[in-house]
Amino acid sequence: MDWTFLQETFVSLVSAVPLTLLLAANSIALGAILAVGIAVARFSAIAPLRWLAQAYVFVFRGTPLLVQIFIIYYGLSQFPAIRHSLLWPVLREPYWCAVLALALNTAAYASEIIRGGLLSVPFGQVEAARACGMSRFMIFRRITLPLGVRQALPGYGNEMISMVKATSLASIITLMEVTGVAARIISESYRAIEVFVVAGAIYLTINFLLTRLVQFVEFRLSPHLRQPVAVLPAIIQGEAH
Amino acid sequence: MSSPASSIAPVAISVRDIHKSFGPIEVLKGISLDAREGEVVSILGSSGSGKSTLLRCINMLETPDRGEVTVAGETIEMLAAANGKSRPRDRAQVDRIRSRLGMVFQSFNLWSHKTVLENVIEAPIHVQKRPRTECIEEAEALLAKVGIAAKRNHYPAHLSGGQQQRAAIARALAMRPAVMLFDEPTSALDPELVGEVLRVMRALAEEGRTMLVVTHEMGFARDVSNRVIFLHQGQIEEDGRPDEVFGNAKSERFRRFIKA
Amino acid sequence: MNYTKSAMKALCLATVLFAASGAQAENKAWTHVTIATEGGFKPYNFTKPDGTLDGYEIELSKYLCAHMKVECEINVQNFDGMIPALNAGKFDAIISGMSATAKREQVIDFSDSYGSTGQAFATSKSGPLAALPEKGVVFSLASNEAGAIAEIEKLKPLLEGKTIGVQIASTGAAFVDKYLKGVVEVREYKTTEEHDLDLAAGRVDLVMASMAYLTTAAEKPGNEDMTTTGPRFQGGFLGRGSSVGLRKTDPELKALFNEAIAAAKADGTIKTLSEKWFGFDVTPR
Repeated sequence: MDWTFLQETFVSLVSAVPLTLLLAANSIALGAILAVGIAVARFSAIAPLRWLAQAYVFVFRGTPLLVQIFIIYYGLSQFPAIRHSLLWPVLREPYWCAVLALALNTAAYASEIIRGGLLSVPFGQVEAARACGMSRFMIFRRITLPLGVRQALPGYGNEMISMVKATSLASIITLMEVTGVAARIISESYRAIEVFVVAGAIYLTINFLLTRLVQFVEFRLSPHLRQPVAVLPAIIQGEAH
Repeated sequence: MSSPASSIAPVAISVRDIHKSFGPIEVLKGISLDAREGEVVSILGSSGSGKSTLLRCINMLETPDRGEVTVAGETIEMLAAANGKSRPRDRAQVDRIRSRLGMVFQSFNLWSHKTVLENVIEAPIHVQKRPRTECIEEAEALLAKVGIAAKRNHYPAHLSGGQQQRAAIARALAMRPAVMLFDEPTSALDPELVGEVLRVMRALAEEGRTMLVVTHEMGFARDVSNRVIFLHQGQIEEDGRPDEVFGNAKSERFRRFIKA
Repeated sequence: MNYTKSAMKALCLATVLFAASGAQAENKAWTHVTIATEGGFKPYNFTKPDGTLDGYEIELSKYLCAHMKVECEINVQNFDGMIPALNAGKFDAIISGMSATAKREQVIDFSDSYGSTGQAFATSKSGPLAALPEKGVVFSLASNEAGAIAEIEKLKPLLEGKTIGVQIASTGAAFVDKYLKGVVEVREYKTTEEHDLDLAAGRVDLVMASMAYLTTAAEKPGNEDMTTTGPRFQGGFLGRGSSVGLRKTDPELKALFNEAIAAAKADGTIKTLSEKWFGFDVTPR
């Protein structure tokens, strides 16, 4: 074991962690917003909107992320019309291309997870909200979405972990995140095993922390699924049977 | 229990010629009914008689194919839809009228991600836009009234069925409704829990609330309500004071129904 | 641990074998030399449709052999296995576009270089960098490092703030890292084709790669707007360039090749041949 080399590798790779996290966080956030929109569109009364959402999910789930990144980065830039469009300042940057590709991809998966969550909301609770005179939007915001999100959270946690790992593909469009730096160290040192072991350990740590974070959020959002805390005796007097 | 005032009190809710079909089956075949303020109307009928559907047509949880619903003097405006059935013209009006009707469901339908107190203050704050502190005060009074003040910070899943239904009643009352609608409020309860819910409903009747109660509880219909309606195959077959209806029913079917 | 041990054993055994085969060749009077080439690395060496070999190295080999007064036989070999095969005595010299690197020099010997294409810049024809000064002028980090560094200093203000694309871990990447760090923004690509795409798209202002690569790349469809620009750098840590690979046990043969290469440099053969095959002069400096 060459500890000096491992140490140097570790230091170089850790310096790339912020970019990995930034890519993951931005694409997950952007993807989540898009995913809710797509999930809602899947329930729309307007048929073309439903078809569009369905087609979107079909395309982005059915093609490899690698291909999507390549098409967005190298493919779009082939068209002079795009290079001269208002989008170019964004699409010119490998960082935003990566965020865009990752977000579009995760939105497809997440929209299905959220759709499942929304479908799991008991209809009676929606009906109760309706009977109170809540508008459709208010029902969605106050009842369906919070309940659906709680249901979707475990599945969504998995998706977030996939996204952290998927950021490694950003290295193919020149972004020096953890895998990009690892690839560079390997091509300079020819020591693939050590470098990949260190890189793997870094991803494992990130995802370990992410898993704990999701568990914590799940815990905080689901008091209704836990046993109640001990009730204060003072309040118990109010009980009348 | 019939209140002499009820016959001269203003009409709280009026239903005119309601028709409703599910596919080829006509569930309601032209029902008309007025309930005056302070009146407690029990709606009886075997399953499939259309009694729940009638209640759900009143607050438009089911859209009647034809007919008219008026709550506290305001008639829900309907449009003829392309398929020959009707639909409400203005969703906002429906929402407004719903907020004046307190609905209690057979399966409670409390919002599972909210505590009992949050369930009760939800609609007053967000639909009626009343001040939060006022809503909380009123909610606590209502929870005390239905006897579950101590459970205010519990989630529905941690309550017994009877407690959940009482919380649901408090939730409906918090809207200060003109009329309370009960859709088989005790049918999902274990027998030993039925009593606590009926006691609350009896107390509400005694304070003069207008209530439409779809129920199988003959005791409640006979002792608490001041009017009993018996539905059969989408039509009203009996309608009168409980002593008249139970003592001297015109319909053979109703006599068999109350014996069963 | 076991793995390491057995690998060490194998290595020892191999060394013994190489030494043995080398010993046989010692003190040989060279009249006949077998040369290995890949036969598929245009324009260095390639196989024509009729099966015969052609290219810069093939023509140069003929000159070198004539000069050394030996009879040469050129065989086609797989590039990957060439070094072990050389040490095993399958042939006597490698002339196959092989760069003399420190790593290879641990195992075999190299003659002086007979061709160094060096590292060059390419940019878009219509871009502001198309007119970088000293286009095509060669600066050597080996023979005139001070001159090369002075030239880099001259380029710096012109490149300030520009984005440059290089292949990951390539010689060009090493050059940019050493001399232009902080002056230009560096993007590293898995393949050279990818930085060409981004040059065409305008995401990078400049790419740096071997002159040989850039010359062929500029002729590919899609790269019509690509042109080499500015000076060329070679030598030093950029590598000595292509050299004849030889067994460490054949110093006489190395001396023969060095003498022949020096002659080819001196009489302009390398310049003429390389301009014919590469389109520019690859004479090492």
